Amino acid sequence: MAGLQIRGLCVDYGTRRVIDGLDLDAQPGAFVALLGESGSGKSSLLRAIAGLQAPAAGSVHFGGRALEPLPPGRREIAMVFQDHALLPQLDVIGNLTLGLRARGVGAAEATRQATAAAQRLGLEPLLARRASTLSGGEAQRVALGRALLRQAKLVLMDEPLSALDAPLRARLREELLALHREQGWTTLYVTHDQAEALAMGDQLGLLEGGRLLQYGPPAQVYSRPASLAAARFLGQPPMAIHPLEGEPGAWRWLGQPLPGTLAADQPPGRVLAGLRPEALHVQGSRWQPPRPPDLQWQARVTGVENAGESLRLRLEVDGQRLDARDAPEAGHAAGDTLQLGAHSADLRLFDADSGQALEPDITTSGAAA
Amino acid sequence: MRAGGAHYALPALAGTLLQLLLPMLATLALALFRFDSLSAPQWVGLEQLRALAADPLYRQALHNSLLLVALAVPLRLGLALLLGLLLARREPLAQAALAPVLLPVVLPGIVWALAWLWLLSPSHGPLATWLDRDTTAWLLSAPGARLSVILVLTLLVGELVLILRAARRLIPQRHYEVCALEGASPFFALRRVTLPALRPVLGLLALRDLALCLQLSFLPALIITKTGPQFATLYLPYYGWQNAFEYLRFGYAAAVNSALVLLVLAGLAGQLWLLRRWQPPR
Repeated sequence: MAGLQIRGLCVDYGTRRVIDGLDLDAQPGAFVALLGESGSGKSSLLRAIAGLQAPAAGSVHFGGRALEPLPPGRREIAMVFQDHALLPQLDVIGNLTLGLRARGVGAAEATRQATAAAQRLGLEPLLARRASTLSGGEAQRVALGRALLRQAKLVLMDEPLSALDAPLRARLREELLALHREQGWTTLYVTHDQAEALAMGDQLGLLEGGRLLQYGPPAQVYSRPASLAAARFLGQPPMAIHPLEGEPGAWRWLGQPLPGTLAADQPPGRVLAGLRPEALHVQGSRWQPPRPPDLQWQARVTGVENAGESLRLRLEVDGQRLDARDAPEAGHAAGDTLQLGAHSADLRLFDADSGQALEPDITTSGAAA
Repeated sequence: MRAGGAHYALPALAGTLLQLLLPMLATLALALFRFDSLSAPQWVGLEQLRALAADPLYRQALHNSLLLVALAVPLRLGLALLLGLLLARREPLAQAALAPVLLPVVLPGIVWALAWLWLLSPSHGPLATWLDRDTTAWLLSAPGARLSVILVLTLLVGELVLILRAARRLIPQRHYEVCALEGASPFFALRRVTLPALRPVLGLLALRDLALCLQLSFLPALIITKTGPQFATLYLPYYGWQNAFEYLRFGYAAAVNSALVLLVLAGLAGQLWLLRRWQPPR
């Protein structure tokens, strides 16, 4: 594979290890979203790939070429930062031509190329404006223009949209994906926004403590978490996780008997099961389950949050918390009692000791098999 | 300044008025009188200002002063910029090197001047001995004495270094990372990132240094070169002081100083014009 290949990458800041033996493969042209909270090592990973931070160990290859021996300028990588990193004293055209001029392109040719890039991004009316007078969205588009002019095949994006308001973020997200496809970039996009990561990535990596918790297609990472950590990390509200009670062949979850074949080979007291909020259905709701439920509970509503497109319900079953969603017009209120249903096939099972999913075919590594 | 906040500036404005504008106006008024501080001032109108134009010593001091600022200001700023950029690095050596750079400005001026007098003393000064290997009496030649004053002033840049070092540290590292990713050379980053970002600070320091160099010239002229040889290091502030306190010609000294103020204001206007024309390169 001539895409991006990272093996055993470690990055230290002093005595603190921020990236810890990370493996990751990305096909050429892939859009890889890396989701992590503050301090998870997202930015450090990008900086190490770009050559702005020397790794303590490991290797990075792109297009079959080892990047570690090369200085940042010879890695042919474009990077887009959250804070845009525009030079405030320069106008937009000056910022766009900066890289071209640094690489020895003549002033006239640099201006021609920058103007063409500005046309592509709708930046023409801004060309004479000082960077310091641009709005967040305008500045980020200029930063994208600079990435475009770098003519790189590997593009690293460090939370480029997180400082923008929601409608602008949605619009720029589309522009960014269009640019990625049009230019044939291999893009590594780090974010702490779950919706953004799920919506944009061909591949989704969950980063925690400098390690990949899970890596794969977003739908798979969401529906089949590889570990308790991944299950709790992704999803808002997160997966409700409670232990299986009883014994193999006669398991119960939140008081409901499970089919005998489920986790039949697991010893008692070692299995946890989790259910995503959208796998729980309120009886009588306009939102019908895809299959008839085989688990049913009576639940008390402890809280309701109107999220616009849905109602988020905090529920209690036998003193245990569950989360569910219902249609926005359902009109539930705290204190109501609801009938809930779910299908046991939607339960995800985890080993309570190791935290690993009890589904052997899920891989956590970012390295291609 | 917003009108709502004007009252906050009142103490500073009052200080400027009392300590700067009023003495300047009083000096200008005094230039219209002959006054020896022993008898009553005598009105002479513009006579003393006209006399300046015909005074060969004044013309010499003016020439020396212009030469001094023309050479010392760029040299001081250049050296301060170089040291400020080098010492802005967060390395132990750069931190340690700050102390010797700052030492001259924290020493009393008279100590600094006496140290240089010893270093450059024609009879036994170690620096003079080394400089005089091929020529004779460095400090006793006009170029040697002038360069000595410029050298003494140029090394008094600790404060400028401190300001430029702080200003350099305020430039986001991210801007240099962008340059690194684009494959820019260090010189390119200096020209496109560092200097444009430091431009307002450099401009302000250049404006201030014009007046400061003239002020700072007083002690070296008094202690090291004694304005010699042949008035080669006689500068306007010293000439004004000499007229007032040695010859008791306070009115004439006021005329010298008023001309000096006008000279500085003209210099500042010229510098401002140049600064406004300096646009960052594309």
